[in-house]
Amino acid sequence: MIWTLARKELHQHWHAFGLLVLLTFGAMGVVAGAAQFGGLSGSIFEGLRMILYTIVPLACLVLSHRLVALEFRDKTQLFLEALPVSRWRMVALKYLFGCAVIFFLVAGALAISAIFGRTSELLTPRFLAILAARSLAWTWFFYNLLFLFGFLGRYRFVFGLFLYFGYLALDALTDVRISEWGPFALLNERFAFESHEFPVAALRTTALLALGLMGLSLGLGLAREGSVAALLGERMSHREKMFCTGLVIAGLALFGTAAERTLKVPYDLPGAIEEARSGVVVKVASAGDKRATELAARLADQLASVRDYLAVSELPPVFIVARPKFRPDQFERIKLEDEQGVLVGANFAALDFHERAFAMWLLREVLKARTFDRAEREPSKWVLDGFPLFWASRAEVATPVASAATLHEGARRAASKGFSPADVEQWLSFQKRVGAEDASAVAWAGLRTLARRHGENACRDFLRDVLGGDIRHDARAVARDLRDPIRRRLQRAARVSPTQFHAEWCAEIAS
Amino acid sequence: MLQLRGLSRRFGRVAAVEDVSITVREGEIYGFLGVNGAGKTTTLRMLMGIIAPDAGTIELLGQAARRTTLKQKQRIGYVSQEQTFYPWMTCRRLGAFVGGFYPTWDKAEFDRLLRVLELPPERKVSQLSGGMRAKLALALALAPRPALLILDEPTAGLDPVARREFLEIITAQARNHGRTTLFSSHLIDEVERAAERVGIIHQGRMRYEGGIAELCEQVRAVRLSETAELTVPEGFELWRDETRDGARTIVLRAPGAAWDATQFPDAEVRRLSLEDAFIACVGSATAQV
Repeated sequence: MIWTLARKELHQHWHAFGLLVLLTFGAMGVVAGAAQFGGLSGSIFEGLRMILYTIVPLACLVLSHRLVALEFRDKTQLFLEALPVSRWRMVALKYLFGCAVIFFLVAGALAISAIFGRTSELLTPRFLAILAARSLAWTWFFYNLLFLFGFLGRYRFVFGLFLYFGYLALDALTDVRISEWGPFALLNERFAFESHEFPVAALRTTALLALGLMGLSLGLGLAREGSVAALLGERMSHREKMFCTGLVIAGLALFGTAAERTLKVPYDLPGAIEEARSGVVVKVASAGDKRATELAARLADQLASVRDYLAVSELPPVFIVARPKFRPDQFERIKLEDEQGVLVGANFAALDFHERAFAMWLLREVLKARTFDRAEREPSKWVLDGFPLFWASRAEVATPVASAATLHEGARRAASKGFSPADVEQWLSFQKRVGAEDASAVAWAGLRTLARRHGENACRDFLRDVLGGDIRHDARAVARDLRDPIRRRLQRAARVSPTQFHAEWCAEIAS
Repeated sequence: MLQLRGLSRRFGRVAAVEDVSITVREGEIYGFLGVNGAGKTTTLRMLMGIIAPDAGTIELLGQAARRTTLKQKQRIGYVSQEQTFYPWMTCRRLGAFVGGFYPTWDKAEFDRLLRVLELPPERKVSQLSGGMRAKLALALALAPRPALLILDEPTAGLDPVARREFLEIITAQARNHGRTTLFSSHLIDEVERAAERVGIIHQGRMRYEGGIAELCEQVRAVRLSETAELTVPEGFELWRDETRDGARTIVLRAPGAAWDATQFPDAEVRRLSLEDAFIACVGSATAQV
């Protein structure tokens, strides 16, 4: 009789399931194809992350609507109840059926990305297991949440809206970083690259949440012999519609007012040493220490030169705090909300403080912040990685790569492990393969090659195009990257094809 | 065949069914009478195991339980008040679906019933009229060849022709196959036409159970002048006391022998139809018009 019910579900919803399969696998296929044939660059698992963020919740919504909400709305559960089948089996079957469909979609998407990514990614069993654990836990959580919504019947959209606005309110009005918690942490920016550590805490929280939601939904489906779900499943009356619309509008207005009143005070370091240049501010938290003052001035000068070089109006303000317990070569960035600047910690009072390394590291962080982290994404990552080294040695820009012995050695070592044109587009995988330092040396060699072979102006124009310019913090930036990929910008600035440039790059390293 | 003993069910503070006991004998058609909201559907839903009783036992096919088991349910054919079938299914597909739940499902019988009841097998449920849906429900209930057929106001919403046709099918089934049938209704004429025994439920409590002829024999109206006094004799049960147009009518229930042995001076005693007896049973005890 379980199979009879399962067959019924399959027959009733096959076209919806088919559409979901087409949508998920189609989207994954497009992402994989684009990655394979050059339309889209970066890790293929970024595409999987995108699908988990967008299509999976949509699929869960469709499944819960069709499997649960529709049954109670049309009152066909009364027909099932009259048949010799228990209510809990009915509910459990719907739950398991939906689970099977959604896990099939996600497992399929994961398999497609793994198949297409096997040539460009370092796929280890552990990496795959981490990806699978993250994807399936996220999916299970979302499925349970939306399965519960199904039992809320006519109130599910109102409840969903309140949950969404609640999420926004928490994020905007409090210091709670919900995006770094539980299921949301599973799909953070490390999703596509973390190949060693399982996000145990996030997995545990997600599993507990999912279990709780599953208990709630099954409880709601069975409560008072299914009469609660049946009552909630009825269509909304006109009066209820008006009431709910009013409630949503009032909630929105309240949220807007609260958000306006709790505008956060911009970050500052009161009493810090401040060095300002045109479009550049550097603040160092120190009680009038001469070394700190000099450091602030030197960093401000460097950033002002970079600002001029990249032709940008301003760079994010820099705040430096002392970390006396840090090693002289240890630096950290502290995340500031709403892109208010770059807050870093370093032991700059130490006598053997690595100022040159710090300045290069800081320059990278400033450019990351300026581009809203877009420069750190493939395929522009090599430019960001190479720029601080390139900038530090810009005086010798016309000299061959081989003149900088240590960097040249690092670049040669990396290239000997294989450096193909695809690696330029998939820099993270290349970096994993050869090590971060040697990969930076290769990146530096690339910029130096560009300057030497095609002129400093071409190199500067290219850097301005990638790291300067007007970069937006929204979908327009993504659209720009898709419309005008890095290789096209290189072609425009230096009039060189990516293949030819790669050949020149390799020749320069090999010289 | 079926015995309900002391069945009770409350919904919050409302006692929907209280201490209901019913006996349905093998092979008979039992009419379960009651006005809307009397507790018929709640009783039948408890009998079908859809809701659990708060108290009481259900003895079905020789097995007593607090709640009807799935095994027992497989031997019951049930037609509910509302036909909430999947609208996208055709009659044939619906049969195949329902058949998956009954080990005794007889596909040939279902096909025969579709033919006899003039139901187009390939037509979708959404395209069937109310009468056709009721017939389809009956075909689905009969195809597993159930030991007990339960019908919950099956003719509600049907036109008189469809109703008559439906009742004829039920009686023919009972007559030809000896099928025990319990059907609820608030329509006296259809119960009178089809049932051999009836149970009357009112405000969640059983008021009468027995044969229709017995009911008409036991319940009689005594018509008096408005000023006349009458003490209810011992062994008689007062069902109704009504004054209309200057005349007082009291309805009493007692065994036939008691009626024969009792004299009502200055009063006219008359027998009641099932409808009058039912109204006397479920109407308010006193009425002034």
